[in-house]
Amino acid sequence: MVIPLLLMLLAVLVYPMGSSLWVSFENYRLTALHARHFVGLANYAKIPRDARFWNAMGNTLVFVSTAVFLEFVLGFALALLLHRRVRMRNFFRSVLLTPMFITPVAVGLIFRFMLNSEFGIIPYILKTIGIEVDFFATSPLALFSIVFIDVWQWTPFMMLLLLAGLESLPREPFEAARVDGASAWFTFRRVTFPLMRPVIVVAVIIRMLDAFKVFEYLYVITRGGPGNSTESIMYYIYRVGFRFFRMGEAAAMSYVLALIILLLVFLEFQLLRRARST
Amino acid sequence: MTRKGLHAVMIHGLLFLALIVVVFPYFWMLLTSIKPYWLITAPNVWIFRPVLDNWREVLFESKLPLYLLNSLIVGGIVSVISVGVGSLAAYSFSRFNTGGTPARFAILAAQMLPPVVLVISIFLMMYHLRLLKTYAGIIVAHLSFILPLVTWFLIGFFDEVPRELEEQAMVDGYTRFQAFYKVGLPNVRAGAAAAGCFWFVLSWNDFFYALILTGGPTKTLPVAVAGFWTFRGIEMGQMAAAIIVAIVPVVTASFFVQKHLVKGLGGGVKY
Amino acid sequence: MAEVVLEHVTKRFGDVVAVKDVSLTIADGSFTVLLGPSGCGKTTTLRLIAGLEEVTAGRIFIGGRDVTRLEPKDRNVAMVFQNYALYPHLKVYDNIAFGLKAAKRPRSEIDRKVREAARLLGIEDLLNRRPRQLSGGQQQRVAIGRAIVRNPNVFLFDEPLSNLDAKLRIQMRTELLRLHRRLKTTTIYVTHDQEEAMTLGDTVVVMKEGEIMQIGTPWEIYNRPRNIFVAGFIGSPEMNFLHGTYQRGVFTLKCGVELGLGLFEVPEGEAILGVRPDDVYLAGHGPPDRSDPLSAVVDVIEFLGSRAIVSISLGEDRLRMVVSDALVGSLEEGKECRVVFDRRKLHLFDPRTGERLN
Repeated sequence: MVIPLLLMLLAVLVYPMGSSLWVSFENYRLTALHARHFVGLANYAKIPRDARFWNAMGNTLVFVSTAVFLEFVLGFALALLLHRRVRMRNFFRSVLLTPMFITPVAVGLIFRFMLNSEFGIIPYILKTIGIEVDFFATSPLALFSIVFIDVWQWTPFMMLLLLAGLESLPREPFEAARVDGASAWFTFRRVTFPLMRPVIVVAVIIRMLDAFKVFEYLYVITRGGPGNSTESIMYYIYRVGFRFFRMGEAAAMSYVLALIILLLVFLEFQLLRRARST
Repeated sequence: MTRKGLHAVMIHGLLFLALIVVVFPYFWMLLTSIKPYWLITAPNVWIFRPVLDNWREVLFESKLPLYLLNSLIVGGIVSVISVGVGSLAAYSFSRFNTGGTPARFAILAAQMLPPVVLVISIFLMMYHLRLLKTYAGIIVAHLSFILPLVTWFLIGFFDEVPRELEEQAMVDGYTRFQAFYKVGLPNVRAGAAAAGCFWFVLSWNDFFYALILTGGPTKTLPVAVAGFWTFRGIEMGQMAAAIIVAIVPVVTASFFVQKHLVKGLGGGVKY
Repeated sequence: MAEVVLEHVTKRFGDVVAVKDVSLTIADGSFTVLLGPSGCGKTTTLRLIAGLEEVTAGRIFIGGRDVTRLEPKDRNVAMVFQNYALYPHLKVYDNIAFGLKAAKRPRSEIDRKVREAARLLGIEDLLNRRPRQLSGGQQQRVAIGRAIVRNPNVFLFDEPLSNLDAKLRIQMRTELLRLHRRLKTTTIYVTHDQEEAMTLGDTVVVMKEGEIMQIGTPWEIYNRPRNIFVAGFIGSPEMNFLHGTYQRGVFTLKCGVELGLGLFEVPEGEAILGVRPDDVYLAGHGPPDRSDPLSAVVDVIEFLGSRAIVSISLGEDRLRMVVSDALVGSLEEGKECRVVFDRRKLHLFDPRTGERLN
């Protein structure tokens, strides 16, 4: 019964992976197919010296850590708020979850429109209180504007995961804490947070993996600019592979990226193991 | 006011604030979509006579409905194949524990791959087979990450159905496959349908694969929407309308999915 | 140490009234048991005293202070839950120390008090373990330790022994009594087990459907039940109830048999006679003040070891009596026997209100 699945995965997953790997060992250029031949690890060797690759990698790491951190803090706060017996809780939850379901391209365009320095509503409002900002024109700000958009879209996802975790916690220890005289903050620090640790680690891993793939916002807003300050690693690889059609190099870069991600996930899993043993 | 009363007000206040942050962009897009084009670059104008030109052009005079159809077709085919193939395998993983725990995790590991890895070879495959701007490429690409996810979810759902039901059916004379088809499958239907919306949305929202593997008449909705990025004044009202067309079906589906999502993810996150 | 007073306390959950206008004074230093079947409101009352639920109406005082609007943490009470409610991620030591840490006591004080409590409960060698490594009885002791260590005004116990097996339950009962003698803290204990209530409490509050049926010492509850509910709930095996009429000192059963009872203050009319199986004897073996012998037929004999429970028929009525094993040999199922009642231990109830008449 597993055979159809295995066959299908073989066709859509394993074969493409292997094929990409092979391509990464050739100097495969779509613009010069006749010249394609095996070059071993030459494509990989180019990477350490590729400043633009590391710039993109750096941008992505800054993006991922900032965005996921903010999404975690805000998501946890919202989850805690929604965990209580508030009236209209389901309504709030349903509406607050909607951003994560929207195609990121649309979200990108929405915010590009709203943050546009000429006719965007937000700079307009800021101007009336005396602040003049161009969100996408200058270097660190542009990247953080993208972070802001990601936070708008994906905080609900964090909130969802953390809320599910909160609701699966046993109720009695919390009543015991109330009677034992613990303040709300003490209970959070000493009971809620420790009991949530496994859920937190998994939620952060999942979100991190996704955040690494940031592409859409860049495609419809900054295209990597100003300069290369918002070029993410996915965007750079896309350019190399589908703008310059240097497939071999792109394939090599994508495998290096996969390895780096694998390494990070492995580290996080170690953290998870430690969290569960306490 | 009592302390409990003050507490409630604060919580509601914060939630309301979050609500505004989430809903304002929707509202603004709606507003923009009914603005005549000379007012779009004037953010301070809120009161005006609404026009439906943008909507008319997007829904009846542009190719957007075609692209919407493309997204539906691709999503539909991917969902059907995934559920069909995935449920068979998921049943096996759940009941016979084929491959043990490593197998279950290997499935999820497929999720970790950055799409760039696969897209290159799928692109080249399609390029050489001259299937580049057909549905073939995009379906293969979507299957690569949706199929494992569907299987993972279905394993979880089958785990929740007690084995005794099928064992009862087999004692009554059914073969294993019939038991699966007549007993196991219907029982997961409810949860699977809800999660099905989720996978459909994943396919619907994908941009990266669609950008590279579709084009022209097979463009999917996100790619079409991205075409508005040139930001010409005249087109932005239409852009707003197109965005809303892209959002509404998905957000509506999300309201149906929610209950099952919280339960399923809560269980899944804890593994 | 404190007195607990409930004044006209009512608790409503939506349409359901769990606690109906309950007024109660619990003496300082007493061991008061709230007893009743499930759904009678005893646990809700306890949680109201703890502050885990808010009253719909009425007031609650602890040690003279009005705590009605206060959070649990400001009431200085400690609670032991039915399923222990230990913090699963903390060691036993930290579980017990939790409340003290929350109150920001100095570490030396915390250490001293935790070890003292542990010694008192015999769990010193468990201090470094986690709850999931402990047995039910051990977990319960940790929960008690957590409560003791805070020196509260009142201990609240919510059916703490119901998750333990029978032998352990009896053992823990003795330990709880010993603890109470030692600490002398006001204790309020909820249970549905009437045997537990009778052995532990110096005061028993019997509740039914949110209302108090009777308050008294175990002796009073057992020997002077105020109504049929209390009479039937307390005592094992259950009290026998016989319907009949009372006229001029004589109680006439449905089957026509007459009992001379000689109680002349009781109003005449229909009545229900209550007599405990322990107070029904075989003729010739009863107490001095006994009724005249009655003829009955033996139905079923349940042999329990040192005694037997014998079901007999008196005309249309069925009764149960307790017979010692020495005498049970003379009985045979289906055969006749003669029985007498202890006249000092008879109870009369009004058939309509259930209230006691004598």
